[in-house]
Parts: sequence; C-alpha cells; structure tokens
Amino acid sequence: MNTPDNTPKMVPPDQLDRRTALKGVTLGAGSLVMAPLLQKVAAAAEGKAATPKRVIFIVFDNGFREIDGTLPEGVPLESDKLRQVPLKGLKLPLDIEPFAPFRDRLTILHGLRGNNAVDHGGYFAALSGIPGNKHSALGTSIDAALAQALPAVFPLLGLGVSSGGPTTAYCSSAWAAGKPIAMQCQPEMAYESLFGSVGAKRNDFATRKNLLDFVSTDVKRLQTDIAGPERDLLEAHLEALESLSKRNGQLSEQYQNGSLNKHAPKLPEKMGLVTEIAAAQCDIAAAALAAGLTNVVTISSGLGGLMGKYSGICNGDGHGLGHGGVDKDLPLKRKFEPLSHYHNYLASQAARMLTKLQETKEGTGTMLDNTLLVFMSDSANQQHSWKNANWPIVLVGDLGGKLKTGQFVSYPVKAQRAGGDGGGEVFGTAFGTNPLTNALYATLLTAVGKPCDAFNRSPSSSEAKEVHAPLPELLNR
Amino acid sequence: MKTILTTLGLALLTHPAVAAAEPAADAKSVRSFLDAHCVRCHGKKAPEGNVSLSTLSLDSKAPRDVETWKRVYEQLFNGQMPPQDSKQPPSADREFATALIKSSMKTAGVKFDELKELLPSRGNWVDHDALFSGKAAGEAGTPSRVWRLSPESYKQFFVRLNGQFSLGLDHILGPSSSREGPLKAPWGLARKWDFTDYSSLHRISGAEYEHHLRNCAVFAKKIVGKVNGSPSFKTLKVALNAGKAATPAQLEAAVAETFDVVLRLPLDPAELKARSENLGKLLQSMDAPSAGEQFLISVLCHPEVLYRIERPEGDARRGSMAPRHTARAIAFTLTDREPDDLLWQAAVEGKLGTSEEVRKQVERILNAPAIPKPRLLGFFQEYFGYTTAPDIAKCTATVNEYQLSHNGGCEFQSGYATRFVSDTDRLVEWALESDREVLRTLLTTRRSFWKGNYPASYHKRLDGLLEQKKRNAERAAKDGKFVDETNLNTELRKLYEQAKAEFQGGGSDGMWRDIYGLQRTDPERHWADVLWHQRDNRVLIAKPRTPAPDYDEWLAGKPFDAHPEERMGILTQPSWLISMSSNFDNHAIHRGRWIRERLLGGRILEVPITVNAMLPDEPHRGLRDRMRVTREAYCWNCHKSMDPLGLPFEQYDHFGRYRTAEIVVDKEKTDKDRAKNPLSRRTMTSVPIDTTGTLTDSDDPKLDGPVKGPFDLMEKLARSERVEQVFVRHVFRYYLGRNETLADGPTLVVAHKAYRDSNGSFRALLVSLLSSDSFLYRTQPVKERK
Repeated sequence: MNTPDNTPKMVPPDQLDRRTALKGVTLGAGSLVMAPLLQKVAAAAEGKAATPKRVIFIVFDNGFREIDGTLPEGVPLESDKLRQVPLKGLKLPLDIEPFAPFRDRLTILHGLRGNNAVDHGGYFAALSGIPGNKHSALGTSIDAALAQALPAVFPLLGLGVSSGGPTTAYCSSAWAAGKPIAMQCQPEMAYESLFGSVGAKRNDFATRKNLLDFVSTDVKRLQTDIAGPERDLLEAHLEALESLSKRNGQLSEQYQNGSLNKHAPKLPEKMGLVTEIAAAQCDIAAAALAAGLTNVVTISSGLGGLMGKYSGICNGDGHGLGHGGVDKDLPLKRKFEPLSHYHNYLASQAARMLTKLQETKEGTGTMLDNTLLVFMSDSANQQHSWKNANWPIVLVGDLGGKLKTGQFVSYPVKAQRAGGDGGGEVFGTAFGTNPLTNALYATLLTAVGKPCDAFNRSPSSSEAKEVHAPLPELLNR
Repeated sequence: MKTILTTLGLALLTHPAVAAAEPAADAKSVRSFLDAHCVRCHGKKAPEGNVSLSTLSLDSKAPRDVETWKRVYEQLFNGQMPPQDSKQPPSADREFATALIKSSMKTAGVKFDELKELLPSRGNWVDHDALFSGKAAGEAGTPSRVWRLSPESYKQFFVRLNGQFSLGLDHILGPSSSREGPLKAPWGLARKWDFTDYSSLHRISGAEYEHHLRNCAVFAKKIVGKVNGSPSFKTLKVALNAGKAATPAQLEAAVAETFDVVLRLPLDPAELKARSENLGKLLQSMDAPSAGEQFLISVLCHPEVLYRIERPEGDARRGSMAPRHTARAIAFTLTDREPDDLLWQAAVEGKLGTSEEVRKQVERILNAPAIPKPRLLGFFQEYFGYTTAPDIAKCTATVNEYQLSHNGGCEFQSGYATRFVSDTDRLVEWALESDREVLRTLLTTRRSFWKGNYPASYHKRLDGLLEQKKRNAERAAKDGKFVDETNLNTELRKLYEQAKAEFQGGGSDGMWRDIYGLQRTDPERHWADVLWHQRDNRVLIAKPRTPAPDYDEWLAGKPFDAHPEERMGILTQPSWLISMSSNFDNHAIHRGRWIRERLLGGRILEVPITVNAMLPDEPHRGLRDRMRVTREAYCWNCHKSMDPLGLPFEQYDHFGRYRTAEIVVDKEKTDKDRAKNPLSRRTMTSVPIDTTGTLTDSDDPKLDGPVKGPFDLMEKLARSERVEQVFVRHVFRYYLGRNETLADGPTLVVAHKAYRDSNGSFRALLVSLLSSDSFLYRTQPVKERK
C-alpha cells in the first residue's frame, strides 16, 4: 500500500521533451502515457518506488443479467434504498460462481447506470462513460486513464476474444478522443509481442530492436520531405517505431536474464473455439502481470459489439442468444442460460488469473493484494439495455486495502419487465438519481492514487456531484 | 464589408498566403469582421455571455485576450456563432477571418489540431458559389503529404510478391483460413458516415506496425527460401552465399537488385550505401538465411510499402510529383493496387509529365475491362452510404411484429442485409455500364436488381463448361477421338437446375422478394398464405404489386421494373433505407441529413454534447409523431435542415419495404393482454403515414418548396444543376483524399463541364479530375511567419 513516503516526485512536464523522455524510458504507447512513467522513474531513482497496483478489466457482450447472473441467492433485485449486504454465507449465482473462493475480496455492484440506451454493444461508450457515438473514441477510457497512472513496459495490454473476427480491433479503449487503442485478438501474436516467438533460439527482441532502429531512419528522412499537417502522421509513426524499439530493448534484457522465459505461459495447441481463445488470452494476461510487463489489462470479449458464436459453450448465434434464445443441448433450457454458461466460463478463467497472482509473492503479501478485477458487460444488463438500465459490475480485489470488499452494494433499483424478445423477463432499472458508471471509474482512479472528483463528466452536466463522484460505499479513505 | 473580405479572402485564403499577410492588415480585417457580425450582441454594454469583443485586438498577446480569441476561433470554426437564427457571414469571410485568427494565435504559441480541420466532415464548409464562380483563387495543387495505403492496396502488394516470386502463399492470401491464418492488412477501414480514406485520417500505430512486421516476416522467410533458384535474385544469392566474406560491391549489387525487383525502386547512392552496410552487419552477426530474412523485412518496411508519398519533385514550392509517384497515385486511385507494367513504363519513359499524357493513361485504365477497378464502385458505396445496412440488426420480435416472417421462424439477421447491398452494388455497376447520366439515373431509376450477383457467377461457370465442350470438339476434329462428356453434360444440367432453383427461391428468399414488393409465381395463392398466417391478426402490410421478374431477363443480368409507385433510385432501395435506420425504426434524421449534405452541399453541426438525442419511448405512436421533440425551438434550428427531407421516406418501413400505413403497437390491447399475462407478445396495429416534406435553404431557387413524397423529392433533386455540382465535389474528395479548397474551384468547374458535355459520364468526370492540376500538382507550404 502507498504511504506518504512513497509519493512519487512530480517531474514538471515542461522540463521534458519527447525525445529526451524516450531516451530514458521504455514504453509501449505514445506520449500520453509518458509523464507518469517518468515520474515513476524519478521516484524510483530516489528509492521511493511504490508497490505497483494492477487492474484487469474483463468486458463482455450481450449484457450481464441480474437474475441468475449477479444476484446472490435470496437477495431481491428491487429496492428503493441503498443496500450494503455482506456476502458471507450467500450463494453466488451461476455466472460468477467461480469467484466464490475470493468471496472476501468480492464486491457485487448494482444500481449504477449508463448515460444512454445501448443496442448491440456499448463499444467505446462502456469504459469511457461518454454517451453519443459509441463507435468513436470520444474521450479517455478508464482502463487507459489507469494505465497512464500505472505505467509499465506495456501501459495497457489490450486483448480481444472473438469468433473469427479481426486480428486487431479498436473497440473499447482510448488514450483520448480520436486515439483508440488496438486490442490484439490473436493469442499467438500477443504472446509473441510479450514473450517472443515460441521456441526461438536467439534473442528475437534484440534483432527486432535493431531492425526498428534501422527502419526509423527511413521515416525520419521522409518526414523532412513533408511539411503540411500530415507531417504529424509521420511523427506518430516515428513515435510508434521508437516506442516499439525501446520496448524490445527492455524485453531483450529480460529475455537475456531469463525472466521472460520464467513467466511465459504455455499456449495450447488448439485455439479455434472462443473458449480456447479466452483461456489463452487470460493465461497471457496473467503471465504479463506476473512478469511485471503491464499493470493494466483489458480483455474484450465480443469486441464491444456482439459475439458471433460462443463456440465451446453452444452453437447458437450470439445475437439470438442475447434475445433469450435457448440451447436444447444445455441442461436447463432457460432463456439467457447459454450466456450464463459463457460468463461462468470467463469467470473461471479470471479466477485462474487471480489464483496465479495469489501464488506470486510480492512484498509481505501476494500480487493479488494489489490487484483488482473488474468483470462487467459493455451493454449493462441486456443486449438492448434501456437508458438508466441497472449496470451490474463485479469487482474482485481491494487494490492494497483501498476498496471495501465482501459486500453486495446496490443503489436503488426498480424491477422491470422487458418487451419484445426479452419476453417479459425481469431486468433492473436504476433510479435516475443513482451514480453513473463514471462514478465507479472516478473511484478506481482515486484508489490507485489519482484523486478524481468526476471522470469524463460533461462540463455542462447539471447532475448532482454525487452522480459522478467516487463511491463512498466502495472507497476506503 | 462582404466585398472587402471576400476579395481579400479569395486572394489570401490558402494558408501560405494568409501566413504571408501583414499583421496590421490582419488585425484590421478581423476587426471589421467582428464589428460586422459579433459586436451587436458582444458589445460594450451588457454583452451576451459576458463576453465583449468590442475592443479585442488581434495585435494583443495578453493571455486573457488570447484565451478570448481561442473561444472566438472555436465558435467561428464550428459555425456556432453567429447564432443560427442570425444573419450569417459569407463562408469565404468566415473562413478568411478564422484563418487570420488562427495564424495570429499560432504566432502567440497556441497549438491547433491541424488534422481536425482536414476532416471529411468539413468538406461542405467551402463556399459552393465561390467554388463554381469560375474565378481562380490561388494555384491548384494538393499539399505534399503521405497517405497510408488502403487495406486492399496493402494486401495487393503481397499478392503481387507471391505471384512474382512463386512463393506458394496463396493459402494465406485467399479467403480460406489456415493454421497460419489468412494475411490481413494491419488496419481496416470501418464503414462510417463520411468518406473513410482521406490522407489526413490515418496514422500507423505500434500495434499495426507489429502486425505489419509479422506479415513481412512470413514473406521474407519465403523469399529467402527462393533466392538460390530465382533468376530475380542473382546478386543477392551471391552475397548471401558469401556470408561474412561478402564484399562491399557484392552487397551493393544485392541491395540494388532487391529494391529493383521487390519495389521497382532505384536507390540514391547514400541510401544504397547505408543499406549495404546494414546487410553487411547482418551477415556478420547471424547466419546467412537469417541475415537475408532481416534484410528483406527491412526492404518490406520501406515507407512505399505503407504509404503513397506525394511531394513536388525537387525543391519546387509547387510542381508535379516524380513520375513514379504520379504513376502510383493514378494506380492506387483507380485500381487500389500498384501501377501495371504500362503505367510503370510510362513513368520510366517520362510520359507522365503533362496533363494530356496522364489523361491517356487514365482513359486506358478506365477502358480496360480486365483491369480491376474496385474504387469505382467504392465511391458510390461510400457516397450513398448504403453498405452499413448489415451493421443494423433487426431482431426476431421486430421481424414478426412487422409481419415479415409469415413463412415462420425466419430471422432478419445482420447478414441478411448484405443481400440488399449486393443488389444495389449491381444497380451502380449497371448505371456505370451505360455511363450516361449516372447520378440522375441512380437517383431516379425505377429499376432494381434482385439476386443481382447470381447471373454473373452463373455465366462464368457456364462459359467455363462451354469452353471445355469447345475444346473437346476441337480435339475430336483434330484427332478423331471423341471425349466422353457424360460428366460435363451432368454439370451443365446441374447448373441449369441450380439457376432455376435460385430463381424460384425458398425459405428466407421469400422475405427477400417481399421487401422488394415482388409477387410470387402465383400471387393470389401467396397472398392467401399471408392472410392465413395472419389469421389471428389484422393484416398490416401492403399486397405485393410488382410482377415477378422474367426468368430469362434475370439470368441475362438485367434489372426488373419495380411497380411505378414503389421504387425510384438508390434512396428507395432497401439497402439505403436499412442503412439509414435504427434497430427498431426508420431514421428520418439521418436520411434528411444525407440529402442535406450529399446532394445539397449543406452543413449540419455536430450534436451538442448537452443534447441527449432520444425520441420518446412511445411505440404506439408513429415516427413523425414521436419526432415532435425535434421540433422544439432549441432542436429545430438544426433539425429543420434534416427532418423535412427525411420524412418523405416514411413511405417505406425500416426494412426498406414499401408501405401504405405505419405499423405501431396497439397499446390498449397490449396493456390488456399483459395485465393477464406479462409474457404475452405485443399486438400491433397501424396508423396513417404522411410522406410530405419540404426543401428549404437549398440556395437553388428552383428547388425550394414543399414535396409530396419521395418521388417528388427525388425528381426535383435530380433535375438540379447544383445537386450535380455537389456530387462532383464529393467525387473530388473521394479520389483526391481531401476536401476541396477555393483554389480547386477551376478544377471542379472543368470537371462538372466534362460531366455535362459527356451526358453525365462518370468516366469523363474522372478523367477530368485525374488530369487536373489539383490531382497532379503538389505544393509545399511556405514557412509560417514568426
């Protein structure tokens, strides 16, 4: 846990230019994340390095339903009051049952609300809390904001899970408006970036670094020929090359001293099914965290929209299943059951990650002590979630004692029957005065040492401060 | 005021010229602008928003004044001031004033996002009348730039390598996936509202570069494996075989040869030396095959593999590009791939130096059916925006409620809409085949395609089989030996049967026909089926009225004639209507916005962040009724430019089906049913539709006025010269990858004339644009005033 003595020394940004900055540090992203890392470097130089905090986001499609999904047995969905119920002794529903071993570190949040209705995936809107065009990065997403606060070789490790989708996708996270972050959807490629080629006999990172340094000269030469605004595009290209070069330099050192090999996971032979890809991405994320290569991971299942198929769970199409389609091969054949099984599978993979971190010593405790998992859907509680829909979110971990855990926290929620294909199933609606998801994001930033009164709050917002402010029910001040 | 500023504006609007103006003159001009358009509200006494501009001077660099200027700039740049209901300054004056303010602020150290100003959404901000005034406003030319290759161009480069060096990588270049996975470009172009591929839009990120490196590694390994047996790499083979002992001369020869065969790129001496030394270092530090691979990856990372590089040749401030870059610009613009041999040859022989020489090459490519030209269709797809239909899923309940799936269980899935997109693609191709009055045809044709892609694939297969028969006959005539054609005849019979079956359709094909309003073979029986399936409900849909297409005509690839009251042009095609819809509704606002921007050249401001753009959740009311919220004063300022243009398309439902009434929820019955059983489905009823609309503020006096419905609207628009000019502006943007400026005015005038003189030939329009100074010349901005 941070103490006042560990407070990093601030380096005035105006004392650093981009090139100077890059000479001293290793990065995986552009200049937006550099200042905190430099501050960390400055702090480390003075022997004040803090134990790093880590945050993992697992974000999935098609909604996170309350009934059978997030509500512990015996706890009603509806209440017109704030509730804080200890989880001890309560049975967890199927979706999150794999988190039972971490019950004392668990928080189930109900009653937060989004800014807008969501149809077929929240994309960038989910992690930014910014309404409007969900397909565009309109501002910083919470994972990126945390990554800027928790710098590492890979500031934000973005991994995607999709059925036959693209190699990389821009879907959920952004450094800033117009600066989306790519999710790597092929585990082999993510592995190679982090740990090098499987079975490599030489230091690929050193070779790669030399190559990148060499090709950078081409771009620099070209830059002198272009004088208009598009010169900035080449500047971004150059920054990308330099960042990759620095990162490969650092990975090269870790390769040489054996630390990469020590943490590299073993990838399965087969990775065709969605479940296999999800498992591999979780393994890679856990290894990257354990190796200290990153402090923030986002795993986007469904890439912000809808999964084509949940292969490995059932054969129905993702869109139909989100409308309550059933699978005759599953035991209960109830609406949304295939989604529950998929959530259960994701939760079990997340639990494996948490276990790995729990097994890794750090200071006087384990890495899990300083870690938080955020388990949520990008479209609140259903595929077509309405405005002010209840947005259930499950948290595991307390970030070094910064968060209160072991509780079910619910802001006032009204139960409502869905029309159309929801077929009359009950979902929650948050009261219009409840906190937005932005308030949780402000809480997380505050918990990692970046006090935040409001995250992505519109300057013209007339809503009460409490709608955006850090949640006192979660935060240990 | 207008005269002064416009005159100055026309002379100074290009950035270099603005930068070169005198500060005192700048300050005076901007002061005049503020006095004319701002100080009435932002004067000395009780200024609006407590912001007074009465004494603000551009000469002041006081921090507080700089902050105020920044706000003034933002408001003017985004069109938020003067307010919508006030008299607006001419666009040229606004642009001139903002350019001067910006230039002055930059001198004061304020940073601007220059790329934001180049966004496609800013295209219509250039004054239309000034563009087509025929007066030159500066010298035409595209600023020097790099333009990231399109995903298709990127991929075609690797396709070419695979073929050229027989690398055997077809399996990763084709559509089928394999253990290695298909090769994909590191970036994509997401379908969106505006044009997707401007030179200013795309940068290469670290993740994308890593992806590129992986692609390069696969190809480099394969090429190195071929070096020993390939006549293309004689000197590289020597250098690799020599390994650590390779001499500088051997290395230089290997590098020069590799760049020649891989990129057709001659290197200057300095670059040749640097790359040779690098190859030498690689050979010293690793085994020869690995060194070869690393060297080849470095070649494949050359900027020309990733970008179009466009700058004037030599040190000129304005001039033609080097011939190889002109050749690349022509090829990527038209064919989405590198130049063909004839174009390279023209570049090498210096035959791309004049507009006439370029015109010949462009005409050659456009007139060669064998050369793929995906960017012809690509323009119309992005301009009309009809390809986003598959992104808009319609759920099963909605399909049922709209009485679409009477044959049971059929879901209107996302993928279903791709069929309509293909049909509209075919309609565009059909219009381009005749190449006469292309825009007018696409706006007003009564013809449509249904399963429009099938005939082409049928004929390809048929031609293959008939060719086989012909060869057999020739062989028989030559050798006297007859080939057993039993299998061949079976294949032919199967093909005929498949075509018949395709035409008859079945399953979800029924819905495809229904949305077009096409009758079945036995229309009365079909309608009786519909009535039977809806026996417990009121029938809320219109009876199909368009006769089923003629089989022979369909198979000949011809379109069918829609019922004369039902379809007119692309804007009444299901693909466009679905693209401009939401999951559950028509999107009259998007439809209107499209017409305002793409046909009338109007500007729509961004939705203010304070607006939570939602229609009331009242499924028992019609869309026009629910859109009453947009008619509230605050919203109507913008919505009056869109809604009255989009509402005529209420003639169709959000599946693109012609209708005579709008299907809505029967609230009374639904409430009653759900009181008994909360799980019961909604009951639907219908309300009358109103397809009237209004054309306003078009700047074309012949256009403005009420319209009765979509046909009336389309006919008016298709007759307008202004609409045609706006179309030409959009063609310019797509193919030049940037917005037009006033300096491009003469180019647009000539291009429009070429289109008109050729009776609306799209090819003539393209030839004109691609042989213009705007396309061929590049400019370097002068250094800004310090």
